[in-house]
Amino acid sequence: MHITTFEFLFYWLLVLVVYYFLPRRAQNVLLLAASVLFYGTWSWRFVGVLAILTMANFFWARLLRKGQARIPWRLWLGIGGNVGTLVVFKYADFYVPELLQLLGGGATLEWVLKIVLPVGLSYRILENISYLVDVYRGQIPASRNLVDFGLFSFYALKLLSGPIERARSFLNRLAEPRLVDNDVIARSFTLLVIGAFRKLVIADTLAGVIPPLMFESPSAYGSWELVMGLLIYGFMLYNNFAGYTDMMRGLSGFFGLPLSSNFFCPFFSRNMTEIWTRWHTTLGLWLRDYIYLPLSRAFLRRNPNPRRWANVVVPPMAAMLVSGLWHGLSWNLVCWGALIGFFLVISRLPSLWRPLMPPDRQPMWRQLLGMGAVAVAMAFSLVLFIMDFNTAADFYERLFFWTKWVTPPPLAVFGVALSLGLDICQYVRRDEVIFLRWPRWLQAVLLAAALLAIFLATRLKPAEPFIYQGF
Amino acid sequence: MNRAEIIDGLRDFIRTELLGEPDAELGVDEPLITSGRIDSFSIAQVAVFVETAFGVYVPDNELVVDNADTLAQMADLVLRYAADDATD
Repeated sequence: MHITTFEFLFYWLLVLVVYYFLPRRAQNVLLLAASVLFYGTWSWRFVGVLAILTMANFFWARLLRKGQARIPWRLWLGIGGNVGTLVVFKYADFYVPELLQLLGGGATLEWVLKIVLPVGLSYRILENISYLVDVYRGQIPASRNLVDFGLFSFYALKLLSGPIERARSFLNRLAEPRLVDNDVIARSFTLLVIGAFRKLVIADTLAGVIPPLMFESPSAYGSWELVMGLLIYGFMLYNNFAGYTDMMRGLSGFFGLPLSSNFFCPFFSRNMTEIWTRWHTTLGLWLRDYIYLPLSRAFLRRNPNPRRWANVVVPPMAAMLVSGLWHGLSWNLVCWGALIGFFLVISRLPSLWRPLMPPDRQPMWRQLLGMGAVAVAMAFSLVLFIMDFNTAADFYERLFFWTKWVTPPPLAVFGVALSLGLDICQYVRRDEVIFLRWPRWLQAVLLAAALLAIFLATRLKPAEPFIYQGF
Repeated sequence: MNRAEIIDGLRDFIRTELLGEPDAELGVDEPLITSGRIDSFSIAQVAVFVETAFGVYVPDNELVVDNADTLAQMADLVLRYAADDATD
């Protein structure tokens, strides 16, 4: 069952109606059952894999501490088990052909080829690791409620592509009474409409204007076309993923289970650190909390000099390499991670010799320059994110063969303008549902226009897939 | 070790080591992370300073805007984990 279908909407509306009539404990059971059923519509094999993973983490977490004492090898084994699961399923494309070649192939190994990556597994692995670490540190007790932990694992509205939630806050929310008042409903509905608008109107329009072979055969295009294609892809990717997240957050709000924000106007980031607080925020925070900060602290304990090269270089590079590998096992993604890590290190260097100047206190020209530099850096690295290594090399090479200016397609200008307009409205007041503060008549006009645009967009062409579901 | 001592220690460290302005005004409720005055790397420095100066380990995922944006919040966090360490 795909998210941009009416079946999906009706399914969750039906669940919602039943949900409101149930007591809290039964609400969790219903949500778990509905989520498992929803996941089963993708593949029952996925359900089996995730169920085993959920049970393993549920019981293993209870063995991490003996009274107050921590047992480190059990934590590392738990983390290793989760990473191993990811390796087995996610990287099958990489190692199965090699393995078959090594072992001479044959029918006995055919079953190995049938390994399919369960949708959303990468997100689940990160949530499991943070859960085990938090239990180990004693920040949360190991869950003793299999229904709640199962829901943390299977909750359909965050399962496919995040947001990456922490057990600490999510399990607490499950144990509390649900609050769904008029404010929550207004906020949730607004997020749902914004998300659908971003995905179905902006992202899908932009996806339609990118030449289909541009990222497969870049040598057939001129430099301006490639630059424009890359920018359009950047805006498309943003609206695709942010749209998905807003839709899920909106829908989840109706169930009284708010999900974490994942995007907030990333194109207005003024430095490379800021963008990770605005683009895929929950992944950025996970990397910060479980890779970057532990490594930074370990290095600083050994040598507290903040200018020491290892203190400056290793933690951001390691965090971004993990990010690259998390997205997929390929050289281009490893290089993408290394490049982002390199940009982070470069952006850090000036602050080693003079104090940080808060972006809000910088003159406007410097803020705009920073936004431009971040956009260029991200677009440049995006090439490695979407193309294999050889094609990316061709792409970079073609960029420097200047060709004459090409006028961008009107639909691309329209889509980018809509995206930026929406962002500006949210950014100015630092409020993602700013529209709720506007006059009622204006809200009504905007809502009608957004719903009409969504309706027309879905009638004109079928919805494009959610890109981040592939991870 | 009381709250005022922790705030004074943190204030001195942040002014001297992170902001490079030993005489700068730094109120207990002045935002540090959200204002952009300290970043992730500086947060790691603060965390290591807390370990060495007060002997308290604050977990990484506590060092977020909601818990550690101001001197007052940081001091409360240190006191909370000092109490946790004492009960362990």
